[in-house]
Amino acid sequence: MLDVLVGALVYSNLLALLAIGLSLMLLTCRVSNFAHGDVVTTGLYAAYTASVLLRVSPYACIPFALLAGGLVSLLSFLLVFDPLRRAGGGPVTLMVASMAVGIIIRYSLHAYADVMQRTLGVYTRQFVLSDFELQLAGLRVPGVLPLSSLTAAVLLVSLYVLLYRTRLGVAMRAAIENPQLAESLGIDVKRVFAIGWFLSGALAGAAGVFLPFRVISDPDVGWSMLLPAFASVVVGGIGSLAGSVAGAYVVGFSELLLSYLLATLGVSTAYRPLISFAAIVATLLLRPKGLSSLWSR
Amino acid sequence: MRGVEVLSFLVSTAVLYSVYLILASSMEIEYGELGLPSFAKAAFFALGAFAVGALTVRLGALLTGVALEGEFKLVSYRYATLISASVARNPALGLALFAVPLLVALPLAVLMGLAASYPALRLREDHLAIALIAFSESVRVVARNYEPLVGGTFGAGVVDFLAWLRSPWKELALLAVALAMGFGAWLVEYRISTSPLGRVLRAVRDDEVAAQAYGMDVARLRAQILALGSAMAAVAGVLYAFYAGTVNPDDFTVSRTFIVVLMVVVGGRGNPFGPPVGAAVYLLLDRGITLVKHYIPVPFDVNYLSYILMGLLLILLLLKRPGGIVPERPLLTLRRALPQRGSAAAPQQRGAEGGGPAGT
Amino acid sequence: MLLEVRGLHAGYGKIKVLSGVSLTVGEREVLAVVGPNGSGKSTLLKAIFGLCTVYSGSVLFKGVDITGLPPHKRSLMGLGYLPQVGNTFEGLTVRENLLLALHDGSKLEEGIGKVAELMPELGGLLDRRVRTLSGGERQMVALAMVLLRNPSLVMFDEPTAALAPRVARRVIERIAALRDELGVSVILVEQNARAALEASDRALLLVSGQPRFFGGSSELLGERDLVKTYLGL
Repeated sequence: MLDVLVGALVYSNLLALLAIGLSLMLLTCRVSNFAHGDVVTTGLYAAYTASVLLRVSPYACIPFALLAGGLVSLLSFLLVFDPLRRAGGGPVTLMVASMAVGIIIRYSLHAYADVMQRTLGVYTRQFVLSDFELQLAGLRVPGVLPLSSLTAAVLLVSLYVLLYRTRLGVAMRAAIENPQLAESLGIDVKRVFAIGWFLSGALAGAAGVFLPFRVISDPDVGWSMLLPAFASVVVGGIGSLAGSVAGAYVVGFSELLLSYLLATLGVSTAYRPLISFAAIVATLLLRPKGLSSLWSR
Repeated sequence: MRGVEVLSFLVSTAVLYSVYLILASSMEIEYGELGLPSFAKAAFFALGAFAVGALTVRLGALLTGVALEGEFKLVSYRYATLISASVARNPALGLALFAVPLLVALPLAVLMGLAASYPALRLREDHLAIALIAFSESVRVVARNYEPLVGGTFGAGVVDFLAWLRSPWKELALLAVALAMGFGAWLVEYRISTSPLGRVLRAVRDDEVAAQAYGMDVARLRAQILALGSAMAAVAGVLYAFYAGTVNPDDFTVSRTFIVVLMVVVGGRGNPFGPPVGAAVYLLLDRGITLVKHYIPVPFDVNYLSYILMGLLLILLLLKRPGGIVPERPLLTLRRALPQRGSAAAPQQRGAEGGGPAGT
Repeated sequence: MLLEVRGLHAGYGKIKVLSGVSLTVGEREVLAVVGPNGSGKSTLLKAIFGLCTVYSGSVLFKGVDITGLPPHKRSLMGLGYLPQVGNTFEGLTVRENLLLALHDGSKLEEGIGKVAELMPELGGLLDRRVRTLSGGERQMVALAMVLLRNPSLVMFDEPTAALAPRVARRVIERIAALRDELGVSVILVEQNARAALEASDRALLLVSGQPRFFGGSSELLGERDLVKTYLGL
C-alpha cells in the first residue's frame, strides 16, 4: 500500500508539471498540444545523456532537461504554433499540427536512442534507472519521491511567483486575456508567449528526469503520459492554471488508488488508462468547468 | 526481384492503398466536409478487424465441426491454418467467413458511431477530438488485455478466406475485392461531396449557427455522418484483417487515426479528389522509403525517417498550403438531365463558393 | 495643429467605411464626432489609432505622418485611445492594469498617486479584479490607464454608451474638463449628440462615412436641418 501511495504522489507530481504546461499552451495559442508528452521524453534523454557523459546521477542533470525541454518547446512555438495561430488556424488544425510535431520529436528521439546506444554503449530502450533509498519519517522510500516532490514544488511555486508577482507575469496574463489590448499598450505579445512556451517545455523536460526511476522507459514513454495529463487539465477546469495542478493530483491519485483497488478485485491494472478516459468524458459532459468551478465566479 | 515477388509487392501495396482510401474517404466526409474531427477512427477501424479476428477462427471451427481446445490466444494461429485448409476445399465456407464478420461489424459500427455523435453535440471541436482519442485508446487497451477477444498481445489468427484459389488468382481476387471496396467507398464520398448534401455539410462546417438558423438539423446530420463514417472504417478494418492475416490490438493506435487525418489534410479537405491523392502520397512515402532504405546509410532504423518526413510534410503544408494538394474549389453539383444542353437559358448549379477557411 | 487627418479612406479589409474624411484638432481643444448609427465614427478613431485598414489619405500627429505606424508606437507619441469595450484586462486587478499602462513600470506608485488625484474613487479599488467592478468603475480604470501614458490627445469611443442619461451628461462634462485640468485635447465620439455638442469646441458630423459638417459646435447646433435630419434633435 505504501508503494502505491509513493507511486501515486510521484506520478501526480509529474502530471502536475505536464498539466500546467498544457494549460499555458492552451491559453496562449488555443492548442491542445499533443507534442507535449514528447517534450517530456526529450528531457528524459537529455538528462540521461548528460549523466552518462558527466558520470553523475541523472538527478544532477535536471538543468539539462530543463534546457532541452524548453528549447524544443520554444522552437515548436516559433516555427509552427505561432505562425499557425496568427494565420487564424482553428483548434483542430493546431491539434493536428501538434500531432505532427510530436511525431517528429518522437521519431527523432527513436533515432537518437539508437545512436546513443551505439556510441555510448548504454541501454536506451526499455530501461530503468536504479534509485537510492531514504529514511523518511521512519519509512524507507525511494529517492524519487522527495526529489520529484521538491522539484515540482520549486518549479510550480517559481512559476506562480513569475505570473503573479512580476511585471512579465502580469504582461503574460494580460496578453493571454486580450492580445490586442496588450499589443496596443506596447507589450510584445509574441515574446511574452514565447517565454511561456519555453517555461512549459522546461517543466515537462524536468518531469522526464524522474520517469526512468519509476517506469520502463523508451522514446514512447512521454506520449503515454499525455492522456492522463489532458485528463488533469480537463478535471481541473480547462483554462485554469491552478485547476490543472489540482486536477493532476486528483487524476494521479485516482488512477493509482482505483487500479490498486480493482487489482484486489481481480481486475488487471493494465486497464488503468480507462480511468483517464472516464475522467475526461465525465467532466466534459457533466461539469465542464471542472474543479475550477469551485473557486471561480 | 523475381516476378512473383514484384506481383506480391504490387498487390499488397494496392490492397493497402484501398484500405487507406476507404479510411481517408470516410474521414473526408466527416472532417473535410462536415468539419467533425472523427479522431476515434482507429477504434472503428479496429472494430471491423476485431470482428474478423474474433470470429473467423471460432466460426470456422463451428462450421467445420472442429472443437477449439486451449486458450484462444495460444491456439488461434494454429486453428486458423487448419481451417484455411478446409476453406481450400470449400469456397462457400471462405465466403461465409468473409461475410459474417462484415455483417456483424457493420451494425455495431453504426451503433457506436451514433453513440459517439452524442458528445459531438455538447463539446467544442478540440475537446471532442480529445474525448474521441481517449475513447479510441480505451478500445485498444481493452482489446489488448481482454484476451478472449483477439488474443490480447498475442493477436489472433485470421482464416484465409481465399484459400480455395491458387496463386496468382488468389492475389488477384483479393486485389479485385480491395479495389472494389476502395472505389466504392470513394464513390460514396464523391457522391456526397458533389451533391446538395455536401453543400449542407460544408455549410454546417463553416458556420454552424448560421446553418441552424437556416433550419438544418445539425444534430441529426452529425449522427448520420458519424454512423456512415464508422461503418466505412469498419469495412476497411475487415479488409485489412484479411489482408494482414492477423489481428493485433497494438496495430490500432492513435497514430493510425493521425495518418488518416494526414492523408485528408495533405490531399486536400473539402475536395473529393483529396482522399485518393492523400492516400497515394502517404503510401508512396512509406513504400518508397522501404524500397530505398538499403541505400540510405544512417546509424538508425530508416523507418523513423519516413515518420519524420511525413510530420514535416504535414507541417509544411499547413503553413504554406493549408488547402492541401488539391484544394477545395467551387464544385458543380450533379446536373439533372436538362432539356436543352449548351443553351444560355439553362444555368449550371454551383456548389459551395470557394472553401471555408481551411484552418477551421 | 496637434492632429491632422487628410482625405482619409478607410475600412475593414474589403469593406470600405470612410470616404474622404478630413479634420484637424488643435491644442486644448475638444472635438465632438457625431452622426447617425453606422456612419463610421468608431471606424474613424480606429483608423487614426491604426487598428483598421487605410486605403488612402494620411494622418499627421504633432506634425509627423503616422499613417502606417503600429498602434503602440502612436501611443508612445502621446495618442491615447479608449475603445468602448475590451479596454481593460478584466482578470487582472486595477493595480496590475495600471502597471501595464505605464511606460516605466518602476513609477507605479507615482502614477497611482497622480491618478488618485483625478479619480479619488479609484484609490479604494486598487486590489479589486476589474471583473468585479461596475460599468462606470471599469470605464474609470480604462481612463486612468490612458491618462497614465501622458497623452496629448485622447480619443473616446462612446464612453456613455452603457450609462444612465443623467450620469452620461456628467461624464461628458468631466471628459471635456480634461482639456482644462490636464491641458489635453479630446476627440469625443458620441451618440448623445446634444450633450457632446454642448460640451465641445468643434464638431464633425459624419453621415455614411462622409463628412457633412466640420466647424464650431455651436455653429452645428444652429444648423437646424442637419441637426434634425441626422441627429434627431
